[in-house]
Amino acid sequence: MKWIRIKYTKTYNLLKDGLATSNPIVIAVLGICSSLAVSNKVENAIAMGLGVTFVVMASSMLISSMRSIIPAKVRMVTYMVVISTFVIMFQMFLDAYFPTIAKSLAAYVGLIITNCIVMGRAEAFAVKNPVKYSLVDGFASGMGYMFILVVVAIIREALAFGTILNMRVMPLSFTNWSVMALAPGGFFVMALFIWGIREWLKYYESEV
Amino acid sequence: MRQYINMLVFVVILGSVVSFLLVGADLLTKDRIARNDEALLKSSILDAYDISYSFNTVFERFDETVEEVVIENTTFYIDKETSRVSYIFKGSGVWGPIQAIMTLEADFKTIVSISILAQEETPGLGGVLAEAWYLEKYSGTVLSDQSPYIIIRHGNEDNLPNEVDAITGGTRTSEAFMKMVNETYPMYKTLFESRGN
Repeated sequence: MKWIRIKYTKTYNLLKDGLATSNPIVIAVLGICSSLAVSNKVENAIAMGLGVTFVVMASSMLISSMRSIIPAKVRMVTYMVVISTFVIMFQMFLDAYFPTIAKSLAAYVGLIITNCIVMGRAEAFAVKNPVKYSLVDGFASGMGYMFILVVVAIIREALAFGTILNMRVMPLSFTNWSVMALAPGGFFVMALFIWGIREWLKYYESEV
Repeated sequence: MRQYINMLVFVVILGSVVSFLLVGADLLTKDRIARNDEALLKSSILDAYDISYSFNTVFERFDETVEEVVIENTTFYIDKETSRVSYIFKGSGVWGPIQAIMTLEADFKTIVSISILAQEETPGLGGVLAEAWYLEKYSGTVLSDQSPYIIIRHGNEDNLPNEVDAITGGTRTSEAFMKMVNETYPMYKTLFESRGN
């Protein structure tokens, strides 16, 4: 019985929203810039996904715990300050412990600050909800972002380099599709993917 | 009025909290970041001298094979075996500072290799500057005795010994880089030649 009831808890619904029904990339189409840029290698996608998840969770938590004292007028500035703090912390962590990944992500780590998902969750959820649910919501959104990134990266890395996580998966005779590593490849795969998932979820945007 | 005071107090408190977080994170990671930068520098120099090393032995191999000579606060790195010389030079690119290592043969004229430590050029255009296949074009280039020491240019004609192809789509980066090399080389040359005195 417990398993059936789990479907009706707020946590379950938040997770489902973030990962599927209102997935930040596929449904809300947020954070597209960075997802096109860093989804050419699986390790970059994982690092970026974890980074965004950390930043969304941490900033949602802090903003949610301050929600009753944030003056409405400086709301946006507060979000920016909090978000940039966590992004800089993540960047320092990468520089210190994963210098090669930090190098290949380059400017995109800093650009998490402008990732609409983080700001979007702060404004749409964290500032109105208790800390516990804000954390779950941040986690779900971050994972939703990472999930799409990793799947797209698996397709792109396999076709562009013949590898997945630097392990050979394609036969040696396979000719690498270099275009997949570049921006156009990202657009193609991402677009097909968004289309596929929207078909599957039966999510259609109505024309007004 | 009260409202503004509250806002001000809030901003001050928020500022202190995030500064505290950032200072903490900086303290925790500072040493490792400095060590990583040093490892990057040392491994680039070892690469230029064709000395093999592994991730764990960079520092030891460097101490074994490379001699550091400091002349008037400028460090030159010399390969004990082949007497190749390296120095670090800096300048501004199109979007931000560029930092690179120049490695020359013992004659201080023939380029062995150039490696880029830091740059912020446009990815895919000027950013090509940091890619291995482009930097390979520099090896074997002989810097001339008078200015311009190196010429980085477009065109199909065969290159003279001191000419290198510019980056397609990165003309301004190429020009900035050429200026950097030309401005720093004579300075380092004079310094290095004054070494015996």
